[in-house]
Amino acid sequence: MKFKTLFVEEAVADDPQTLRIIDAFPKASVNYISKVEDVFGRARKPYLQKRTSLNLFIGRKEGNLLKVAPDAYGLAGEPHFYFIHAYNCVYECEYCYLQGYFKSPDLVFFVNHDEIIAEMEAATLQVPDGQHIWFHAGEFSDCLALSHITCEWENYWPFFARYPQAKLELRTKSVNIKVIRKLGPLDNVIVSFSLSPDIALKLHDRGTPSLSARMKAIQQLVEDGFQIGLHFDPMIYRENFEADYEILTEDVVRIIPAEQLAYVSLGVVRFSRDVFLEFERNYPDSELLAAEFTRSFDGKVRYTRPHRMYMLRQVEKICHEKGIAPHKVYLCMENESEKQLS
Amino acid sequence: MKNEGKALLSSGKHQHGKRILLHFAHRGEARVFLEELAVHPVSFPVKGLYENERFLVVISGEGRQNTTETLAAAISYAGMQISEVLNLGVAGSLHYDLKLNRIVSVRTVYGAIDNRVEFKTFTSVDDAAEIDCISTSRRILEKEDAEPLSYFAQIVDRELWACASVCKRFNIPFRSLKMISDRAGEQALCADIAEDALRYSHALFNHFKKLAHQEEPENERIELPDGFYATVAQKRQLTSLLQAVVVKEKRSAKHLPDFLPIDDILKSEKHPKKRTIRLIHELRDYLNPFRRRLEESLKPIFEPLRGNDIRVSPARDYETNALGISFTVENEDELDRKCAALKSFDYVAYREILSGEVMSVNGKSKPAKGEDSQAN
Repeated sequence: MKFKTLFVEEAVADDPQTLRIIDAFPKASVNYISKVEDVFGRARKPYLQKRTSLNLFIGRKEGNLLKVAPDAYGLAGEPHFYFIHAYNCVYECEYCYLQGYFKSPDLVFFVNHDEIIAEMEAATLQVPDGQHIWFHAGEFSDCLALSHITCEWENYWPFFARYPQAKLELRTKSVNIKVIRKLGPLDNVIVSFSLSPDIALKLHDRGTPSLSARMKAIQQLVEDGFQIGLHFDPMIYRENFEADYEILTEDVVRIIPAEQLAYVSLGVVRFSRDVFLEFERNYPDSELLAAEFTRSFDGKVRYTRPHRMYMLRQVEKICHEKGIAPHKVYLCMENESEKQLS
Repeated sequence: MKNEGKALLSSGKHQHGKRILLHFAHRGEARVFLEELAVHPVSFPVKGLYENERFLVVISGEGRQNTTETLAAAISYAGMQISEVLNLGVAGSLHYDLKLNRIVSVRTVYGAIDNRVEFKTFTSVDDAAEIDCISTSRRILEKEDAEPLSYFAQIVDRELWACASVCKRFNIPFRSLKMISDRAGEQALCADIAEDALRYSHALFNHFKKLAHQEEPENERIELPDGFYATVAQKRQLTSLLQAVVVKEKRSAKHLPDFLPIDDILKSEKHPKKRTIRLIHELRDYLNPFRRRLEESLKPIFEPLRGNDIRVSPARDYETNALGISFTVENEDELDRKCAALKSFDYVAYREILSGEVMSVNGKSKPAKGEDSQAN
């Protein structure tokens, strides 16, 4: 990963994590600025310039450090929050919502993890005994892709070791698991991988590790004793996609013992209107553009309802047939997700 | 900067009757172009407009307002018959690693009024360009003013953002070639730059000439074969479907006739209009095989209604369970018959199909009311 320029907020210039990140990029020029927002997102920067001129910002996250997760974000019935420790991603998935979100592909790392953890603690202490509270990372960036540089997870581990009722989900497509392996497994930390059939990854997940590499990383984490979550999301239609998901699910259940598989979420490809326009502009040759999409119940661009519901039903059925417990399979961001399909 | 400015002006060459508009801020920078292209002045209320059969040349004067007014007027004068706007001129360097006197093609242009950076940016059609430019509302004479601009771009000028903004307004693609004349913030004298204008103009023209000779292959057109007739709306639909096929198949449009079932359709349908309808259906089924399966699943459910001349209209793209049902009756018998058909209609099965109970590749959908149930 090469960054042309680092922009560092003056307030965090001496933070040990900041210094460590600067050290990791000795060839990049460093500018000290008052606020990340003075430069990042100040002017629209085309998304695909991430390929040639990516900058890195280091700053302090302000505003709400914990955000209530949308419905159908995780297993139902428990409070879910997500927290933002970074903006943007080094990968380039064609369907990614980040291409329309920040108006800049530059990466931002926030380093005030102590403040985020303090808010987590306050929220956790409000949870009644016997109930869990979930914290999800990876909403706006990949949790592990650059973790060897950012090393932020070492800040969080002691908190989650102290509060077993608090659960942490680290969402990733990366196989950069060295740092978390060193930290070791905790029962309430779930490393969740986005998986798709190999053909879909090759076609649409540009620059991401292959399916076999992800499987290998999962296997290593399983051997270490980590809890694993899976996101079969986004599912993209191909003729006989059912067969592709049968193979994928068989591989998954072979590698992950039932007691270490925390959940499987299912979701069909979807775009906000803005992201869809960006997607069309950025990837005019994508095979996905040959598909028939419609504006759905929430204004998002999706396959027609029978189409996406069919896909969800089929893959849910495959999961059950392969032995994944029904209560561990949930539908992500679909209006019928409140009731399991079968 | 290999391939910089690749395929310059190709879009102009292939758009019938359209001209390329060359935009300069200063006459000195345009001088060689005016002579070599043999353009003649246009009698027009806005001064600084020249033309020949292929080009319009506009000299706007310095800065944002001059550019906006003059360029918009020139495009209007040309009756919108402009294939592309090419901005040419000098720019100051904000990054020390950029060599002076180098000509660069601009990728994205940022704008700044005083010290405030505009959110809107514009990106040129040159995919190979790698240099960004920021257009400022005033000259950058001090290093302290140059530094914050360098966070956004490598070069600075006064006009390009306004030029690109006008292009966006008129939906005309733009690109820009800039000669790096000085280091921004180092108090370069405008008089020096003006004295060198002729040299810059020569260099820009030579660059322009080289790039203008590089041509891209003509855009492929998708045409309907003989024996088909399409309305304007159908032509639009076919174009979009055929483009999707090109994307899906990753093959050139000229190979589409070999791929499409044209001969089959020609043999099996006599009427040119029906052939077109069939072709549209075939293409839609090919692009979205799921749609055919859905329609096959719905067919037996709708059969009792359609078989009795009752029209059914599902919600747009089946996004809700709503189903429009309409019919006319001319006598009591017909009313009884249609009521009976309505009673036999299995709405629950319809709803379940919309919820994903569609016939799978090797299996059947849930049977309609009255049929024997069959395990999948």
